[in-house]
Amino acid sequence: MKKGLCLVLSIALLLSICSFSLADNQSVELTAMFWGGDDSTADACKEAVDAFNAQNNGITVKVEWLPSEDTKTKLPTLMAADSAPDLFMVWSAGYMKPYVEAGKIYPLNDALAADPEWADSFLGGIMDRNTFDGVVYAIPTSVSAQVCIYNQEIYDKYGLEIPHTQEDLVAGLKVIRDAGDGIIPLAFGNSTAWPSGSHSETIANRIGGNEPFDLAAVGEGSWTDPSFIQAAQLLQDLANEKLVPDGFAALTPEEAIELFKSGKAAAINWSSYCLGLLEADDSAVKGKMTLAKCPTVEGGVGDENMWLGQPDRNIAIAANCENPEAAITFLKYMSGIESMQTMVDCGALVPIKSDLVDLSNVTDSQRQLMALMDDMTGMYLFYDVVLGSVIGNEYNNTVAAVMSGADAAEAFQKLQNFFDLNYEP
Amino acid sequence: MAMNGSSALRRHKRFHFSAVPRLLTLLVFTVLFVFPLIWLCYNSFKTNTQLYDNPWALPVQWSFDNYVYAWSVANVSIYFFNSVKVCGCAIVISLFLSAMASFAITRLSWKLAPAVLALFVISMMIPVNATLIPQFLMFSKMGLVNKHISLIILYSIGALPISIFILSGFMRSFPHDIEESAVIDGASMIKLFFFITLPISQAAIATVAIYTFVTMWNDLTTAIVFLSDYIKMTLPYGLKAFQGQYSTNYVATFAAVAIATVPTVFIFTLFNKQIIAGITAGSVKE
Amino acid sequence: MEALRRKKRTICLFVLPALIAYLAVSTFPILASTAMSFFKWNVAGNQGWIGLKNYMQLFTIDDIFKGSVQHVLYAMLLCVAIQMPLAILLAYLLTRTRHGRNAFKVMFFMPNMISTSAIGILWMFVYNLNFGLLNSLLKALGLGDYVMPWLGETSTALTCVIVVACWQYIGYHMIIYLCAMQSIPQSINEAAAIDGANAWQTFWRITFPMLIPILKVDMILITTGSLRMFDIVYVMTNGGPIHSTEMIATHMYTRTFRGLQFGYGSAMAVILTLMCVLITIILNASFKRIERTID
Repeated sequence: MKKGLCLVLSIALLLSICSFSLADNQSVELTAMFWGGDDSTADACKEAVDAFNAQNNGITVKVEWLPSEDTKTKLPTLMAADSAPDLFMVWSAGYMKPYVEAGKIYPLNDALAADPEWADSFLGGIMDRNTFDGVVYAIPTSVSAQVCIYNQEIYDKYGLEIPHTQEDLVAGLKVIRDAGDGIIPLAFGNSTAWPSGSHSETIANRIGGNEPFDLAAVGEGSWTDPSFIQAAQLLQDLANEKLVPDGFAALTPEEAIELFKSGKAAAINWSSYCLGLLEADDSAVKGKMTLAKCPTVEGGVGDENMWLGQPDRNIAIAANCENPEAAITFLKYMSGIESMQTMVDCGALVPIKSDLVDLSNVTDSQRQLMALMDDMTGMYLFYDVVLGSVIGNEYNNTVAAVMSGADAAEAFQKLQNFFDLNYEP
Repeated sequence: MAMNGSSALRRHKRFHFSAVPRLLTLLVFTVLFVFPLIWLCYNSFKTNTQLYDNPWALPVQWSFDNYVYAWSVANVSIYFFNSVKVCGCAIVISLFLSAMASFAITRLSWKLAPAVLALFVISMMIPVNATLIPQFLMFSKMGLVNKHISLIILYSIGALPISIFILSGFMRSFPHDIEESAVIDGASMIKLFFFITLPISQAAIATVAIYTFVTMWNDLTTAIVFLSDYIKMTLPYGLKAFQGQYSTNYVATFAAVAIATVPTVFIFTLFNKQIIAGITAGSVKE
Repeated sequence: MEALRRKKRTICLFVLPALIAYLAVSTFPILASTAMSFFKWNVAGNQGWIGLKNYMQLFTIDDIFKGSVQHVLYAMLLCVAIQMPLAILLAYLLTRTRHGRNAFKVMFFMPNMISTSAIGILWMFVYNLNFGLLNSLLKALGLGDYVMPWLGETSTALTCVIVVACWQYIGYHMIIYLCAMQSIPQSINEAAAIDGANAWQTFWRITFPMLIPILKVDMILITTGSLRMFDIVYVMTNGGPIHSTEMIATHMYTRTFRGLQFGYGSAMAVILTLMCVLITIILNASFKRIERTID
């Protein structure tokens, strides 16, 4: 009797141990909200996710693909109710800050420390803007940089050289405008206000360097600094001189890219995400593009090797994710060599050291961009990313207002007032 | 007799005299209201280049490519079926709840009846924006955000004030004799409601149903706050997302709008009597 | 029968589902919204009572809010000025039309049956700079100088959006007036005709005064509707360019769901509701006075 009982008990114990380990091997499902859309970086991302899910490691990631603009409203509201997905894409600095401060993001220092090979694969300093109080909270899977793209064919036609200074750029654009062939000098579309914002940021940095913004963003400088005002003023001049399309204030960014892509515009100053679109098979400018660093301004202190950009498509893990280890495995894959290769092949810039990926398949414009970035001395972030949604939006609107004719000094004073009112350190 | 004749003559003369300017004005406005949609429709059969060349011209070749694109690639079919699902469920729930409540308010005796009716009538004045934020937080905590059930709940509750207002107005007006005889025959209130009141109120219910359905079908505000996944979007939200994503493919957007609009125009033209009855009843609430 | 009508169980069964659902989903949020407006409430979790600070900020320093109030009041005036006369005119013309009245009714009402989303997109194309209906019409009429990016200029965007809102709703208001006019007994018009009144006099001396109660209701509908304008602005311009089409509702939406300032947004919601209630009370009172003078 006792022997039978012992036998039954030990079998039961054995079975429960087995079922325990079986439970461990049960498939883990993670939810994610990533940036979808109509460009090649999104496609590359989708490919990478599919490849990960195809691996039989017991982890499935279920992704909701949304246009990145839409996540600006969806994510905060989900966060507010603690029902954020396990993994999500987020912009650096100011956009991430509220979530970090509310403790809603899973810190990654431990995971990085545990895998030095992974941690070292990244470009130097690329995660600085995802770091708060020394703790890293998100991993970038792409990089965007603001770059000037010129239609070489059009420039050759008018005997123009690729400009390196703002003055040369404007002079060349005027020639194209005056030629009367109906070609738009600079492709532009400002219905969402951020294009004028980013363009002004490249100019402002060339005039005043990094300091004005770094100080103003934390309330120790001033938004009425001459570099900001002058930059916006130069954009206003572009508009007044009709070097941008008519009705640019109503054109969407997609329409602006389309103008350049179809060969109707001679130049465009844009973030590198558009390169994938411009290298598409139906693009009229494929093979005709010459990339250049954003021009310097006469008398300015900034040099052309300081790049405007951001670590892009950062993936973060929610603090209340039930399975952070699985999420970290996914993160490592998404920033690992395989998926980075997929990104590179799809025309995106990657945040890992370039010698880790095979560059033989990159497009011509990609190669040009990477070559230009070789001697990069530093990268500063898009202002609205650092400033966060409310103030960042207002900066963009201020520049848009100046570009449409408002008085620059007045507009920036208003921005200073707005900043004083809304800034929270 | 003679007076009638002369006034009839005068009436006829007035009709005849002012007919031309009157009809002209009406026609001008008809063009104003109808032409933009027609313009959109026939341009949806063109390509983008043709549109740029001459926005006015009728298409040389009537191509359905844009429609195929919008329906399949751009998910308009999914948006359409989502709308059908959400509005269908919501209308059933709302009709059920409002019919029962109206019955209670008008047919049953209890002290609070006028107060409850007043609550619903006054709520018609409150803008939806006032309740959006707390509703959102509430539903988020319950995990209902980005699910169709949240819209179904909100649409059906949102339709209650106007439905109760119209239905109670109607139920108050028809005679009680039939009910008396039914009760004498031994029917309970529940049986009375289902077998007598509801059938008699058919016309009013149809009015309420179609009028509130239109509102639900065309809602945008609630949808953009409570939904985010492409797969879940209703038609108005999906259309906006389509336009945002494919903003350079104008003719495809035209086709998407046409797909979204033409069936609803058709159905609502069929039921225009009920919709109009709903509007007039709802507006004469003082 | 009476006893059956009083049965508590039956009453509860019939009324409670709707009542409880409504109180929970609609009434409670209104109260919660009012409460939230006195808090600083955002996703970063630092919620705290700040009393009237949100309201003070809205009324004194928030320039965008001030602008949105101006825009909303402008929309209110423009909507009344455009929609009411035209709706009355069209309704009147339809009462004089026998053939095709229903067809006209349906066609004028058509814009109202379409989703605001579709209408917004349609009119974005009508206003388009390059191939839009409006600009090509101007060019065709030889008015090419007036061609401009209607939705891209801060000076024209607001009016253009409001015009679209009017376009959408004129049919709706026309139906209301048509119904009211049709309920005026024919005998009164005939009597006026016999007394020698022409159409103009008949309308102003007889028809119009009888419409005044309906005018009041309609005006309340138009004004409160324009105060709350959101959908059409969101689709067409989302408050741009540079906040020139910002409405209270759009500003509230942006600040709440993008800026994560739930308390601040709630304060705007409360102000909006109060404005609607205030306008209703004012109009009610004004019309009472008008009706008294007419009597």
